[in-house]
Amino acid sequence: MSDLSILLVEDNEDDRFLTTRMIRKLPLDLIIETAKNGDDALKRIMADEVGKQPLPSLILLDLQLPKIDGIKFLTCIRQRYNEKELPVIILSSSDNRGDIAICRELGINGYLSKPLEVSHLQLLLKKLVGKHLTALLTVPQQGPQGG
Amino acid sequence: MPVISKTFGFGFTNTLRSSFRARLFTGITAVILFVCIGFASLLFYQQYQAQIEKSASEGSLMAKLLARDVRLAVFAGNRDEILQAAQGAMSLPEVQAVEIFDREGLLLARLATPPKDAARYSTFKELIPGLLNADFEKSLLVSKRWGGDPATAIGSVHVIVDDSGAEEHLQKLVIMALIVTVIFLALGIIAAYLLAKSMTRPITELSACAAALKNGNDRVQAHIETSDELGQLAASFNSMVEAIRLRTKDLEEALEELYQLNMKLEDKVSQRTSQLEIANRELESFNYAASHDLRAPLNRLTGYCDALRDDYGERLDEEGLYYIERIAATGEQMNLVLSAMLTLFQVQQREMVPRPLDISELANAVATSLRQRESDREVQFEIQESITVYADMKLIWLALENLLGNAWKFTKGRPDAKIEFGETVQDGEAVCFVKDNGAGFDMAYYDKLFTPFQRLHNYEDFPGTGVGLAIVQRIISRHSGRIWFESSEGVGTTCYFTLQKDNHKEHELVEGNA
Repeated sequence: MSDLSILLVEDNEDDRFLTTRMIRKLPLDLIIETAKNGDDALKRIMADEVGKQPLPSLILLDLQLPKIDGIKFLTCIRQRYNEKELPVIILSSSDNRGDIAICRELGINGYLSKPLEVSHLQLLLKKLVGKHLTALLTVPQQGPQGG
Repeated sequence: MPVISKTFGFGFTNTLRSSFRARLFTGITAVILFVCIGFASLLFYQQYQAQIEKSASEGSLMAKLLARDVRLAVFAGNRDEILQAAQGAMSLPEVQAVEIFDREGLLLARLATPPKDAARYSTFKELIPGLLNADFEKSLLVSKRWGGDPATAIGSVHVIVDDSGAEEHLQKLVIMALIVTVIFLALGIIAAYLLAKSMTRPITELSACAAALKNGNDRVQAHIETSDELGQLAASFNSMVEAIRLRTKDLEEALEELYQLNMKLEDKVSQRTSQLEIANRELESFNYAASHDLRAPLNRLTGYCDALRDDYGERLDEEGLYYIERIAATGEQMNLVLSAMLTLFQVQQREMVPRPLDISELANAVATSLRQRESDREVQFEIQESITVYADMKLIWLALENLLGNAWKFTKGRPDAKIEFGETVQDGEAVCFVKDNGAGFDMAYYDKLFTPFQRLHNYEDFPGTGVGLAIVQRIISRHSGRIWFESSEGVGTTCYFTLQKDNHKEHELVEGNA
């Protein structure tokens, strides 16, 4: 059992499935948790405080969420944890540079635009949680987006 | 001195030229002066002549009378009587001297007063007739040519008369006339001045009124109560002022009305504009939402398609795999359409940053990237150098990408493919063109050319979104330019477009330096 866990916060079931599938295809030994909205994700993070579950190693966060949206969620967790304690990668289909700028202010570790590219995801994961990787495919030559 | 007199002369001439009153006054004065001088001269001349004639006739009469008086005394040789007669003649103040001679010219008697300095003397000689002449009295009174016959004369009389009395008289007359002339002249000048003033006053007043009218006083009235031409002029002027006032009032009212209408129109325009803006924004957000929100499910579709191929591809036969390929290709096409829609939206939204631009360079860059994308194709590019315009670089880049991209696309399959970019002059206007020798299109469908998603060729032959030319047209029209095509199927297409020429270059440079 790996101590590397990723929390995917994504409201769309298909996107959740496809992203999870994409991550699972990577040669990584990790646990993937999912949350379908900001509330659930916050509950999961708070579980750490009551000692039930350790913090995830990385959060993949969709910005467009019902109820507590991505930016609010990020604002909440950044009050307690910094980028090193809890890395966050933003997933967004929005070209809204304003949102991304706000997220950068709040503190994010990377940015991936939808549809996700395997190579971009792989590059970011290597950078952030590389020490957990048992084996990593050769990183493609393309440059990272956002990150 | 000459300078001063010249200046004075010039000034006077100037005054005359500029003032009607001065001209009138000078004219009247000159006429009075001429008339006065003329009359005085004539008077003097006549007076002088009369005086001279008078003294001449007095002198000769005196001599004749004396000759008659002394006739008997001379004849008798009575010296006392002669003297007596002479003394009688001397009693006149003009007579300075009287001399009486006998037949042989011997002086019988001479009486004289002492000569005066300023005197001028005339001598009148008269023969003393003999006794034979019986008709003497009658001759004396009637005949002008009475002088007696020298043959029968018994002596002669010389009367010397002082003419200066006439001159004194004349001098007095001249002084008198001068005084009268000066007085009349003064009165005449005053009268002339008053006349000139009274004649020019209406003109001055009219001129002042006109000046007031010019300065905006549209209630000014010329107060001239004469009924002459000037009075009529003033009346015309007054009615003209009234007419102007009425017309100005009408004009002002019309202007006010126009202004109100304008305001209403502006209100309406701004209302419509805001409605249009709202509609536009709705359309934009729809466009945006459509292209964005459609893209997410499309991505899921292609994602599942990939998953299907990866996870179950081995279990599918060739036909199944072909279907998956078609799904993926269709998804890709839809993705392109969505991108094109977004681009169309961004072209409308982009804030223009026009600046001087070498579009030949842009065309070269686009051509290079087309060549890199399909390096196996051989296309001849002919790009004219240094065509400059004043435009937004990103938009023009996009337009050239589409136009040259179309030319590239539609020359596919031609071994002698050739694409030209250049500038020409049509009807005195600089026009850019992109010319190819590609497939071309039927000009009958020209009106479909710029409609988004309208295509004139099969997707299989020439793939595309059908939005490219709509994008180009919008870019050109945002630059206030025009775009049109000439095409012939199988021969090629030429796209013409106009852009603002780079006239702002110097201006920009100046601004840059400042």
